[in-house]
Amino acid sequence: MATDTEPVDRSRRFYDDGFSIGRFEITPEDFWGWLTILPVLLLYTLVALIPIAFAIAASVHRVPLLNPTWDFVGVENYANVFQLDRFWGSMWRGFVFMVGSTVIQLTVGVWMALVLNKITRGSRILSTLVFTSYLIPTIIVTMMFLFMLDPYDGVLHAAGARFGLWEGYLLGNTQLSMTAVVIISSWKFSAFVTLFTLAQLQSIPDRFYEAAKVCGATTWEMFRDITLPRIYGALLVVIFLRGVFMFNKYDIIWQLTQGGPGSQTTTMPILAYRETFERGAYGMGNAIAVVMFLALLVSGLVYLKYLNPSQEVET
Amino acid sequence: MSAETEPDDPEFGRTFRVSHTYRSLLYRAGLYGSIATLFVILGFPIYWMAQNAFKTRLAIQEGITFFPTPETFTVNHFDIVFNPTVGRYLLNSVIVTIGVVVTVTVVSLIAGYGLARFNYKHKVKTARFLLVGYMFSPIVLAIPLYLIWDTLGLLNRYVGLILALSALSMPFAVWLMWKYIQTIPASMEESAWVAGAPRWRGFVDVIVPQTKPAMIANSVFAFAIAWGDFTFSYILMPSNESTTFPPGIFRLFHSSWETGWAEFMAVSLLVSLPALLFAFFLQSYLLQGFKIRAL
Amino acid sequence: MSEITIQNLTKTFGSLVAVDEFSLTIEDGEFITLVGPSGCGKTTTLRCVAGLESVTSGSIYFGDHDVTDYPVQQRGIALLFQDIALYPHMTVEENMAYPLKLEGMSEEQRRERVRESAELLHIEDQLEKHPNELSGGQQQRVALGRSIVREPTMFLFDEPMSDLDAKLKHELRPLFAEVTETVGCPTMYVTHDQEEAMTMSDRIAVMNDGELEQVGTPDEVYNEPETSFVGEFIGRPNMEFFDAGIDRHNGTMDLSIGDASYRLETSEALAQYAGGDVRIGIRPQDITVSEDPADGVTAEHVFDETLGDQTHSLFETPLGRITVVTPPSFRGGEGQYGLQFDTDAMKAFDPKSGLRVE
Repeated sequence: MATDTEPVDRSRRFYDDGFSIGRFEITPEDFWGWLTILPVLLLYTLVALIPIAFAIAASVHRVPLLNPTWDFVGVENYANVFQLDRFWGSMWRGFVFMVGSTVIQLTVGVWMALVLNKITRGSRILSTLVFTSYLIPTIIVTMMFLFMLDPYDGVLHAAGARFGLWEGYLLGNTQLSMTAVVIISSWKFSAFVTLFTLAQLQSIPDRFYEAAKVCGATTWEMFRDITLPRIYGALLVVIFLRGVFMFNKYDIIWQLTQGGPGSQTTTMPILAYRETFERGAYGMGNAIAVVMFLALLVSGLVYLKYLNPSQEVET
Repeated sequence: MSAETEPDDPEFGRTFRVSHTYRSLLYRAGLYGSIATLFVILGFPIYWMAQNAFKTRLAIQEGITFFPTPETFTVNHFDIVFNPTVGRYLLNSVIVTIGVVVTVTVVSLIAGYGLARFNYKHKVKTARFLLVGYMFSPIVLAIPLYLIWDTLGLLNRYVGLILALSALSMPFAVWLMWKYIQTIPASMEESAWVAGAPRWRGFVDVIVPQTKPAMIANSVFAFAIAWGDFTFSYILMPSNESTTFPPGIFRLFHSSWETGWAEFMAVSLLVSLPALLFAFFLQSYLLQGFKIRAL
Repeated sequence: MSEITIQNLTKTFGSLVAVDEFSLTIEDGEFITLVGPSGCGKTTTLRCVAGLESVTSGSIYFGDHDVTDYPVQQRGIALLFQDIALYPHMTVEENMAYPLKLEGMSEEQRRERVRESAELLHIEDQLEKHPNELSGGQQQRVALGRSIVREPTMFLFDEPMSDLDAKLKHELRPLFAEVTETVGCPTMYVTHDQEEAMTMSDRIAVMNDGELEQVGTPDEVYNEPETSFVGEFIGRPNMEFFDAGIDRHNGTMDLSIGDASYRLETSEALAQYAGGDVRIGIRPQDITVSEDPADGVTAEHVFDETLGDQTHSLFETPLGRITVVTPPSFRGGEGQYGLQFDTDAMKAFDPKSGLRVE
């Protein structure tokens, strides 16, 4: 028998028995556990923590982008930022963009999820479309809509002109450009809400509905009394995530309008980009980035504390 | 009250304000109406892109048509892939995407295994901390990263963009893998140990093959982030030779280069093809991924 | 192969003592069942022996070798898990060959060995299938086969049948016995099912609250329980317990249970309790029902569970509810009866410690 004859190495190895550094005892579980998460933490430090610390440092310096010499100016950048009209304007527009697109995405997303959950035929095709809109690169969405809204060859442009919905180039329209950007963003990002909600809907056991049917509940009553309470927690999470993502959204707005016409669609991320790379005020751009991050962190923590979605979600 | 001869007091069950027949009609009308509307809203832009990719430039300029006719049909626009500039963008995108998918899949597999199977100090706190990553905006990170990468010599380098995009995909990937491995019974591995397998061997032989669905979901989500990324690449890959497809085509679109809608639609169709294929063939894995995300 | 010795095994999780000073020797070829209610520490004991848990204190010997600190991989044991734990991504053959593959055996030899084991278990026609295509019983056979392809030093079973239906249990019990007999190594079988323990074991070890209550053959633990816990846990229906007063009386002992009194032979141990209380245990099989309510303990019939070969009748008495095993034809109705206890079958236990008083 193997164990009867073979001598086993009984010398204690640090990775079997752990070790200690000073008064900190490191068990093997600690050692191996931390080793497995280490690459993630290193990546995080390099790509997130250092940049944020760097941004805070840069935000108290004047740093011309073309010739980066650091010139300490204290809170001057912040003072300038808060005095900028375009800062408060962009904050307001960013808020409008965030709330508007989150509301539309939530409504459309939940609607799509409910339909997908009930559909019997063609569900594979419809979910393919939903997943496609989620997985497709943003630039492709932009190209599709820019083409469809093209004042010469665009089908949506022609339809809009025909029904008198708007005049001229929609994305160049000072009144309607923000609405257009919100709607186009929602085309792409509603699918996130759908998939999130659908996953939750499918985890509701059929017996709940069967029990309700036995009691004589109508479809609406079943939705109100079973479905809604069960997806409520997931909806709180998804509102949070969508709000955060839309507040931070840079690419689709920049691709569609570059913040224009004028500054009609200049939200905070667009402003930060422009200050940094168009005006070359690197310190200033970082100050805006820091303000954005802090604003998000504070409102995020408040949201999570008061609505506590994690407790609402059924595991 | 319904017009039907339903008694106010049925022999059994309950009465409804609207009769059963009408309710079910209403419900079905709503359902099928919704399905049709959603098909149009979601499908039309894709259909429009696809059909115009196969039309001659002249046909697009001459007015709106819903199908290419034999006279206006052409596949010549797809030659744009062989254009050195666009070809370079696509190649860069492919390299970066493969790098991100491999990095994310491997690193999240190891970290997820550690979270699921090792009981180390501050484990849950660490995992929660990762979720703060959802708050990091690409633009907020990319602005400071621009000078950091410049100093480290990572600007315009694949590895720089791969690292940045991998970090963005990581919190979700790690959570998914963690929760997924938790569903694999511990006795699977233990039975391998009993049979004489060292810990790493049990991981490779028993755990890794069973995480296939989670690895597929992680790969596709990482693919979506890397393949679709605009912001990081726009800022961290400023040179035209090293940039990926989204910022590349964006610059091309705004430059004076003579390119028509047809070519743009053709290359867009090609670039969205992987997304379409994944959406069709792997949707059950992706929904599984969202199920765990919703936890 | 040789015997397994467990000495003063203790395992704690934080402040919780899961196993407390557990000692047991399993002879070569012996089938020992570790039985107890859930949470009694039996699975923890098994996992310590297997090497899946580290030991807080105490030692484990395989023959003369102290294996307490050996990792699980080097103990050469076979272990059948509660959830079977077959690898879903491997075929039956690959599952069974996996331990051999780890040993570095050639593919030809692996095939040969797997085939031998498969024949013993009558699954040679299932080798190409995947585990999820098999029935529960066949999965158990494959798991068993995977355990025995390499000769184990010891065979451990961790409640392998707790998720199975009764019919399958009956089918698998002789198979387990046959296989362990063929392998011929010490076997430790953990279960919470006393019937399984009674039918399969050479010896039974009854555990409660992390401590070993009694070790003995099935006959011994059934007929001579050393503690009231063993008496209650082994045997169905459960042993009935009564608090009884005891008095010395002219060379015999007078026992009073409720209104009824019984005369027992004096024993030295019992004499120590004279003038006080003891706890009396009696099996429902040893209680007889008399038509006369005045005969023994007065009892009102509640209902009958008809089992076909016997009936379990429940009575309401001043001592509480009592189950009695009655003849198959017995139907109590709503009548009054008297219950008589067989004094020879009574077991006396210390009311505080629960230890048997002989």
